[in-house]
Amino acid sequence: MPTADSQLIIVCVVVYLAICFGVGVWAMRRTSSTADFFLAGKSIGPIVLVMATISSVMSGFGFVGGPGLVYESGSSSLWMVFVATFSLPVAFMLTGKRLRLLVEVRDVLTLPGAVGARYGGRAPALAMSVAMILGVLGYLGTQVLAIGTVLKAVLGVELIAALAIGLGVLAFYSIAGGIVAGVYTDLFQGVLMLGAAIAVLLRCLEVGGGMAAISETLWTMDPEYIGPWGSRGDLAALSWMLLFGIGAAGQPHAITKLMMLKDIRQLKWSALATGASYVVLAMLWMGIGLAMRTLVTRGDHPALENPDLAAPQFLLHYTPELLAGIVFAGLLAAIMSTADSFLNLGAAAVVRDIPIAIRGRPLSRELFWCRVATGALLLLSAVFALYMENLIALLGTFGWGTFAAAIVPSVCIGMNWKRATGEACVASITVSVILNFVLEVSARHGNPLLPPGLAVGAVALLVSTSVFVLVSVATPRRDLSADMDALLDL
Amino acid sequence: MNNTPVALGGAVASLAALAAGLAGQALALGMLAVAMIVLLSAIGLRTPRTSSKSTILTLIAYGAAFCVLLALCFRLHDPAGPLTTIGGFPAGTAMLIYGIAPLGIALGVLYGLTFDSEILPLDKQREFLKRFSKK
Repeated sequence: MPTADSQLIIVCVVVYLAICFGVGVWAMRRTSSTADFFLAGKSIGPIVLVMATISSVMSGFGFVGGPGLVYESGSSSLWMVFVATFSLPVAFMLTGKRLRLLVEVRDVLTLPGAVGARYGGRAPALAMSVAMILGVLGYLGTQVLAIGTVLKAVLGVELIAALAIGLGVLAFYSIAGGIVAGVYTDLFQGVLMLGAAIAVLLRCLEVGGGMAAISETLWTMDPEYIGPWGSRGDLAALSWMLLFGIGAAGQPHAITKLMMLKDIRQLKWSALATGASYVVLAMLWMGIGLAMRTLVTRGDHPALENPDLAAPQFLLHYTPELLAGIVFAGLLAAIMSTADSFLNLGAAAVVRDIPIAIRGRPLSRELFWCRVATGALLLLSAVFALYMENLIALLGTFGWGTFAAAIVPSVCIGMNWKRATGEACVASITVSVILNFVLEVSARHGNPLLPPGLAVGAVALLVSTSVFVLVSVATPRRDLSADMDALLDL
Repeated sequence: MNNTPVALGGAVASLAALAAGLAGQALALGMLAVAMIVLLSAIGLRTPRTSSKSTILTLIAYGAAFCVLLALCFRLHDPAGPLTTIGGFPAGTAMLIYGIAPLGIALGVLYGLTFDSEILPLDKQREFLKRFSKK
């Protein structure tokens, strides 16, 4: 990543870090129990819900990798983000009402806890916890690496120093304030990102001479690039549509937020607002990628060594300093908001879900151990990021697909279908983890088992959904407890 | 709530989509993905006694419109021909930007409009919490 060399950009980023620190101090006073630490005391309103959801889903990948993908292959990746208008409402339809009501009737604070309550027994919750930890480590590692890379570029310091600063702030607010700090920094981060996305899109159109001129330049270069499927082709684009359109309902950092809502009736218009807001963020994803490719094609900018440089190069060369500073802060915000969500989910799995699944009760002094686990996970992912970059890249790639394939059947369908069984839940989660891992590793080693373009995560999602339904109808029906039976009838 | 027929429909759509994907049939994969989205939405929205026919018909209309727009993406994209734009984008791409993306808003609107009457009527919520709330 190029170095910022701008006092204004540095000031914006430092101010952002200071605000995160301040929110951490404020949130620490509001966090006195595990319910506060994991579910923000079920106290958030609809605006916080919408902002926290979109800012945690739009990770650093959205601000750096997304524009890079558009720069590299045109319209293909637009099928990942423009489907959010329906994918996030579908997530609300499938999980919102029942997950939120479950919190009222059971001692459930996490997704594996919800799975345990739904299916009974210990195996389903344990399987979900293991899938969560694998996905969390991958996501966290990539976010940690991104925090270090961005701060290194902005502050002009070594990677170790950049990691120490960024992770220090993240550690403070996520350890001290748990998810309370997470969602309220997300609120600030979401507003920042929305404003930045609109401003940057307008700048992209101005630099490119308007959308029609951009399309004309890119059509002349390669009609497939700016056509509906992009350079990667229709199979890639539409398998991404499937994976991201349906898989959004299986992202734990998004649907866990629904359990935090103060008043369940505030779900009503939040689904619409979340989908629509996310698409505004997608404008930045699309705008920068297309604008940079146009500039390079016209010879107005040298070709990029790496597609991921599209966003930083555009910001540093084609936007006013203040806007660049705000977007760099927004970029850091996107990365940190995703990281804090995953830290919280990982800590929950280690301190609460796995102990409950194995020995039937959580650890004593749970809040203390939550804080210890949050710090330990952050440290572990920093070590992974520094010394095991290949493993992180692999886990990061399979994170979304694994969560989608593991959670869509077992939680999204299972919470709406009485006939679903615990055996089916364990089988589909196991299939999702193994299939994602095997297909991803074989593709990385030059032995792809799938046709070119077909997304690994989409295949895993389709297989795990089929396995879940078929195993459910093939295994004995279990009587549900009275509260679960009534919940599924609501 | 007996959602077994819808769940089985989802499994059939999944297997068919898998076959389409492995055979490299992108249009079929896209259409079956839309079918899965509609079936999942139906599973999430259906409730005993309160689900209205108009809600289910709206979902089906949504799926049909989505399929038409997908087909138009294929139909309007002619890389060998001259550039035809709609709102600044090539015609095929415009179906995603100005068609499929805004159409998705319909599901959010449907959720909001049916929330009080079908998804979670207030009296049912109160009755449930009165019986089972841990407080």
